[in-house]
Amino acid sequence: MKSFIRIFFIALFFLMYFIPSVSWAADIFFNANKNLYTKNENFLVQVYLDTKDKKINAVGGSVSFLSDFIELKEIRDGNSSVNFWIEKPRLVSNNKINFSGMTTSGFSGSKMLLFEIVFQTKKSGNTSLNFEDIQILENDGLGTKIATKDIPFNFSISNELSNENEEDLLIKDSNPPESFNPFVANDSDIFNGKYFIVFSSVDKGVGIDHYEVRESSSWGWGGKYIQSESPYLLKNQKLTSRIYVKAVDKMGNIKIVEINAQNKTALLEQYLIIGIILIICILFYFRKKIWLKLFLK
Amino acid sequence: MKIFSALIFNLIIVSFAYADFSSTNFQLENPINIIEGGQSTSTNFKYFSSTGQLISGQSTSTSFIQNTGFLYFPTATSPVISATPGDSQVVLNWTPAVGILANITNYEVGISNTSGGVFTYTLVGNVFTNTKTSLTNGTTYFFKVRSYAAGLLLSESAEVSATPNATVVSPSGSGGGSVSTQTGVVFSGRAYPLSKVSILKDGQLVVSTIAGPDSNFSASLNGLSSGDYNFSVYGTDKNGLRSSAFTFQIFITSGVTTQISGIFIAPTISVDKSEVKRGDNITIFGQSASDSQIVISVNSPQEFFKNTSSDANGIYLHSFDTSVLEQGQHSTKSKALKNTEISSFGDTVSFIVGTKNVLADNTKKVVKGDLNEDGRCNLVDFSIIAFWYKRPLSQAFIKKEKEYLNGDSKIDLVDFSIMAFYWTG
Repeated sequence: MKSFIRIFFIALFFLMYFIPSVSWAADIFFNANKNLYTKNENFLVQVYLDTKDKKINAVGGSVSFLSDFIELKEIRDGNSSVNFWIEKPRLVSNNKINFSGMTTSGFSGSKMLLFEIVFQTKKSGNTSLNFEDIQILENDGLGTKIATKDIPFNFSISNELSNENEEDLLIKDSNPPESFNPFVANDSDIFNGKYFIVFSSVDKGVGIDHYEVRESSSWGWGGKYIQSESPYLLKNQKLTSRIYVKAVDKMGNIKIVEINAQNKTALLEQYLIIGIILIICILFYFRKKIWLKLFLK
Repeated sequence: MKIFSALIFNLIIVSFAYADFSSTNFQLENPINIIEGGQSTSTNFKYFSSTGQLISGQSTSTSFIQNTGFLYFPTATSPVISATPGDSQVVLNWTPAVGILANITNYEVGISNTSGGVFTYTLVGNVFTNTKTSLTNGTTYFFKVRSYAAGLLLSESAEVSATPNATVVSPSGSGGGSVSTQTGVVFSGRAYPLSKVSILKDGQLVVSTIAGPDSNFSASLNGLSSGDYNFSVYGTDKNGLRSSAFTFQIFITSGVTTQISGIFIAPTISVDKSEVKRGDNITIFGQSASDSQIVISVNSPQEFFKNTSSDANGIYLHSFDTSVLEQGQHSTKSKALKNTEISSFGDTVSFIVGTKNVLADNTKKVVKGDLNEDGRCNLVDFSIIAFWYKRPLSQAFIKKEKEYLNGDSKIDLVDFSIMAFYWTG
C-alpha cells in the first residue's frame, strides 16, 4: 500500500512538472443575446477580448462557421478597440472571416470589443462559431504571444420560421467618422519611391465603409473622388494638388479632410504665371489709356 | 516529503546569496533572509511582522509571490481618474494602480465639496469605475481615488472635479434630439518643466501642449462622438527623449466634457555608459517633474532601489556603484513621487557590467518602428509595413526590418505589435 502511495505521488509529481500548467492570459469569446434561433432569423454576434491583467496591442485570427447553417450578412467594426486594421474583418471564403489589427500603446479590459457580425440562419440544427489561429500579442515592445483561450459559441436553429420578436439590428448612427490626419510621404521601399498618401479614420457608430480621394488643383477646383485604400499612390507626383480625403461610414455619414499642395516651389511658379497673366489682362484692359499716355503726350 | 511539498505548492525557488550592506557609517554582514509577514494596523499604530525562510530568493506560485530578504515596503502608482457628469450623478473611472511588491485589493472613492478639502471615502472594491449618485445639479464636486493592498493605503490619485447637470442630452446615434453642449475631454497632469506634451486619440496625434515651469499641463479636445476612445499621452524631455506613453481607455458620453486628472508622465532615463567596468560608477540621469523624489530601480537577480531628487528643471542624476552587480546584462528604470502622487516606472535602459567602460551614444535616437527614418513612428510607417505584410521582402527592406522591427526577415503580427508599442503618432 505504501509503495502504491509513493508511486502515485511520484507519478503526480512528474505530471505536474512535465505537463505545463495551463494558465490563460487572455480570452477571446463571442457574445450574443441568445443561443436558440429560428430559420431565416438575423442575429448579431460580438467578438470580445478579455485581456485579464495583460495589456495587449495586436490581435489576429479567423472566425469560422458552417455556411450550411448560417450566412454572413454584415461585419461592423465601429467602436472597436482596434485602432488600425491590418486586415479589416472580411469574408475570405464562404465560411471564414479573417481579421488582424493593432492598437497603439495597447489596451486592457475584461470586455473589449473587436467587431460585430450579423448572420442569417439558413437551416435547422446545432452549429457553432469558432476561432482559428488566434494570436494575441502583449504590449511589451517585443510582440510576446499571450496564451489565449478561444471560446466557441454553440447555438441551435429551430425549424420555426423567423417571427416578429427578432431583435432590431439596425444601428441609428448619424455621427460622421472621426477627424483624421492624412500624410503625404514617399519611401524607397514602396511604390518605387513615388509619393503616396496615408489615412485612417475611426467611426464610433457602425464603422468605416470606405475612403475616397480627390486630387484637385491647388485652388481646390476639379478632380473626382475615387474610392481608395491607404496607402494611395498619388497621380500628381509634382505634389501641386490640393488633396481631399473622404471617410464614409456604413450609414453614409462622411468626414472630409484636406491637405494643401505640398510642393511650395511649384505653387510659387503657378502663382507667378497667374500673376503674369493677370498683369497682361490688366494691361490689355487699360491698353487705350496706356497707349494715350505713352504716345500722345 | 520534498516532492510532496513541491507537488502541492508548485513553488519555483530561486537561490542566490545576499551581499553585505555597508555605508560610510555602518556595515551589515551576512544579513538574515526575512520574509515580510502580516501587518496589523489601527488608528494609532502599524505593526510589521516577519517570518523566516531557509533559502533566500523569491518563491512564487500561481496565487502568490513571496519575497525574501529585508522587509519590503510596498508602493503603488497613483490611479488616473476621470469624471463624467450626468443628471444628479458623476461617473468616475480610473486606471488600475500598479502595486510594487503588493497586489492592489481595493479602491476607495472620496468626495468633497471643496478642492483640497476633507474627502469622505467609500470602499468600492477592486473595480475601476464608480457612479456617485444623488448629487445636486449645478454643484461642483471633487473626487479622489485611493488604492489599498489588504488594508494598507498605497497610493492616491489627484483630485478631479465635475458638476452634475440636469441638461438632457440625447446620446448620438439614438436618432433623437440634438447635442446641447460640446463633447470633449480635458486632460491635466504633470510632465517635465516646459516640456512638450503630446496627446494621441486612437493612435493619431491630436493635441500638443507645453507644460508650465511647475511641470503641470492641461489640454482639451472637443468635437468627439459618443463611444470608446483610447488616449495616449507622452512627454518629450529637453534632450528630445520621449517618455513611455500613458494610455487611458474611456467611454465618452455625448454632450459632456469629461475631466481626466492626475496624469503623471513617467521620467525619461539614460545612462552614460553602455558598458561599465565592474566596481566603477554608472551615471543614471533623465528628466521628470520639478522637485520630485526619484526612485531608480537597477535590475539584477536582486533589485536595487536608489533615491534621488529632481531639481527645479526636473533634471535628476544618480551615480550608481556597480560593485554590487554581477557581470552581465542589467537594466534600470525610474519613477517619480511628488506630493501624494506616484508615477509608473518609465522606459527601461540596458547596460552591461563588464571589464571595461564604453560610453553610451545618447545622441543616436533610433525609434523602433520608424521605417522611413523621420524620427517618428506613425501611420506612414504602418502603411509601409502593411505594404509588405505577408509578402516576400526586398533585400533593402530586410535590412530595415532587422534594424527597426524584430529582424526575422518577414512582416507579421509581431512586427505590428512592436510598432504599436513604440508608436509616437
